Amino acid sequence: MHAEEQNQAVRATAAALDAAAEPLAGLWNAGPGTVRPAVSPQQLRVMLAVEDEEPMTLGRLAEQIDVIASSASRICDRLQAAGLLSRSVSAADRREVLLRLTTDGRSVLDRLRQRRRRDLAEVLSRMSPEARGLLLEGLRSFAHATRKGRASSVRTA
Amino acid sequence: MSEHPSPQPALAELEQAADALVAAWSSGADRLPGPVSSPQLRALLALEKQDSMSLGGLGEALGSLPSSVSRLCDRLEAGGLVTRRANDVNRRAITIRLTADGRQLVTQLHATRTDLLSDVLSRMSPASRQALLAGLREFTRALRIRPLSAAERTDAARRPEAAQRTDIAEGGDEQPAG
Repeated sequence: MHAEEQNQAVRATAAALDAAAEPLAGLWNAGPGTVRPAVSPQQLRVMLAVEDEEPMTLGRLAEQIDVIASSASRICDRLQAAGLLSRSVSAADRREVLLRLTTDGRSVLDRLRQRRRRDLAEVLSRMSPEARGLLLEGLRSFAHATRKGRASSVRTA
Repeated sequence: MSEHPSPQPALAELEQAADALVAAWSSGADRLPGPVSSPQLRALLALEKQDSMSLGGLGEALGSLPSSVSRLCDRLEAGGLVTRRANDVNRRAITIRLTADGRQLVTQLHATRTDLLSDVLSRMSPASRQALLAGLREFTRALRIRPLSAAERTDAARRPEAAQRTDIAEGGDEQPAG
């Protein structure tokens, strides 16, 4: 196949995937609205990023979720007001703000994961082993290709 | 009731593997110009699939209370993304439609997502790409057989006092980010 045709085929699959992934993403992202306090998908992404690298600086967070620092700071304002995130000044560098999840913040993430897992398990139990196998194979391959892309994109630090 | 019991290890693995796809899919919305909150985007996507919707129909599609859908539509209308008209047959019923700008925004979202997904798919074999599509379609079919039992619990839990509690996702996300 010529490169151009191959490109066309990939884009066609990507457009189909845009539609096909919506229900799964919906199940994934529906959770945040169902626990109390409800958090938005964007707020959830912030909490997950902080959980990954605690304590996290505000600058690093902005980089991780790919937004400008002032937007990251506004999202943190709301999470802090809701008691899910705490901010402190770094002892090493007074200009740096360190972000941590609070106990309540951690508990929101736990409950979300439990709920998501229960929902996923229920849908999977309605699928045949063959269908589950296809899904797992496809998702794994996508995750692998995502990591490959990150590794090959030029990035210092 | 489980037709095909799902082995636990497969569940944990699937959860981990699905994360990359959901993250790529969801990040498409972050790249749109201008402040559109995620509830607003969900409403626009629901409207895209139908020519017009009633306020009640949209609320059902989003799983939201009529009062919050009405507020959501206020903001979308103010932003020029939807129009509201009284229904010709029943004057009290409101019909909501995407404007040309609203439609353009949704088209742009699909294009952005297609770009993001193409980038990853181009590093996958054709067989893996097909497995992913087929697996997701089976997943969707299974999801739609009947509501999830957790979803029913949520509806039961949607009592007035629960709805009145302030959620940071509501007030927070609706504010323009710029």
